[in-house]
Amino acid sequence: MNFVNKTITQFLIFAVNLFAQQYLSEQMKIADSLFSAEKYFDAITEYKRLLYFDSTKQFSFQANLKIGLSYKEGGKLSESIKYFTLAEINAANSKQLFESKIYQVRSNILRRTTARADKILDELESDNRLTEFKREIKYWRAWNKIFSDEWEEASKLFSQLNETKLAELCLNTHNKLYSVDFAKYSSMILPGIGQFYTGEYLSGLISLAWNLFSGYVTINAFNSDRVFDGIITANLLWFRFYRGNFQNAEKFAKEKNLLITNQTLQFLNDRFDGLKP
Amino acid sequence: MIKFLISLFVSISVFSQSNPLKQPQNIKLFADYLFCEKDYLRAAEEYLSLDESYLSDTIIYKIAKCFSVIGEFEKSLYYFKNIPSSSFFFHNSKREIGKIYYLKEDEASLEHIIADKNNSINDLLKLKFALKLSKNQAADIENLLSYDDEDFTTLKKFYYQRKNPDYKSELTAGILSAIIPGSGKIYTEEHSDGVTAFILTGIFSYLAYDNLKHEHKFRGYLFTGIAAGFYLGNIYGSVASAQIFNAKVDFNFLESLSEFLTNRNYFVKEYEFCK
Repeated sequence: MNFVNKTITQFLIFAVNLFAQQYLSEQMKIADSLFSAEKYFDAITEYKRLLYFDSTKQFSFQANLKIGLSYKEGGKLSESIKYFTLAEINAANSKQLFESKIYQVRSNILRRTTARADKILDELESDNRLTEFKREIKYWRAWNKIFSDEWEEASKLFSQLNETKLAELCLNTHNKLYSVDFAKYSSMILPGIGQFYTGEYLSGLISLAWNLFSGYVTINAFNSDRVFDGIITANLLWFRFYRGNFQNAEKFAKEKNLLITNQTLQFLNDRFDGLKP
Repeated sequence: MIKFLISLFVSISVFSQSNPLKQPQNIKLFADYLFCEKDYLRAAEEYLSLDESYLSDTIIYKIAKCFSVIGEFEKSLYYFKNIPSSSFFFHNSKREIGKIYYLKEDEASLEHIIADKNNSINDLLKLKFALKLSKNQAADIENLLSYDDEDFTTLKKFYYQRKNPDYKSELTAGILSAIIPGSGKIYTEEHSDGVTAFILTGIFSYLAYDNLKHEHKFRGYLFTGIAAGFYLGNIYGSVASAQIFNAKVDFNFLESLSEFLTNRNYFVKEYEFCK
């Protein structure tokens, strides 16, 4: 009788464990279905519930990763990085480790904390367990270059990966960009040139006219031996217009560059079908 | 032994019928966890998914607190108002309601709960005091000046600051700059601007005078125009500077008041639910 009782007890306890396992798996399925349906808020709740009751921590990696992805989809990038880091801590193998870290990189790229993304990519690159992922690491480093405004570098990296479309797009963008230094220094040499270079012709003409006028007044004062007049006019008129001229040229170049890069980013967001951050 | 086995068997049967993670006790545990993790919206939703019979006054208080923290004031008020007068949380819930009315700047409702004798009047009066100060209605609270405790003493300091603010007169600033260019700016504590305006107006006036004196008419008129521009601009700038100075005084006052109230948690007690 004792043996029978013992056996039944063991069976029932085993059954309790089995059911617990089953419900955790069920919970994972519920959360996954919400995630697939893009109901990210509810998905996060269910993943968190799973994490809270999963005493064996068997779902820690998956649930944390999915919470991170849900936050990422909702634009809460800092929160997403927190959960990708938790996923990294619970990674059971190199594939999971890579996955969790690369998502940290992607969130950092989107958050424009590109220096942090670069640092994580360096860590991934120097990790001997992750040699099979070299290509992916380089791919995301190229994306990181895009968001760091290093389009030429990004183009080179994409070329090395045979991602010709992306490489071409980055190179085209790089070629379209105005040189901020050229705009600034050319305007120092001849006022208005920097504005002409950036296509702001009217502004260039006005700048040139003001500089000619104030320069004439200043030089005329010195020529007529009115040194005090000359110094004051030079300081308060000419130098003011001269400085404003090259600062303006620099500002135009930066604004135009922002427009160009934003157009490319918009294009990548709307039309590029491949993997993006 | 048989009884134990039967109960274990029954438990397993029940267990297998419904999701144990969604059983009320577990929902409550999970909601408590979310509350302590400061995931307030989810915590509130979890508490609200409990059957009404589980909604103790502690849980209702926590729901209200969650909504209050995330700024859902109407929902928060609804639950705070549902806390029965017999509850341990009753008086603090009234303080929480007062805090919400303060944040919503709803003076009439704040007055209404102050009028209820069951409430903890003093803390609510402090909020009324602060609300009147923030709305610059210091004259309406002279009857509250007789109250005396640490908070009232601080509030009284704010009251005197509000009553006699350290404003600068826009008219004085304008007149001063009209007499001596830049002095209006110095009066509004924009010292470097004041000195610069004085020097620039002086130099251009001198250049205008000197050129006109030597019959250089074009340059004389040019510098006269520039000097006049600086002179008039400086008068206008001094008036604007006084306005900005006064706006800064108001802004700093409200910042300090807000900082005081935040430090005092709007006179609301916090419970250690997450120990």
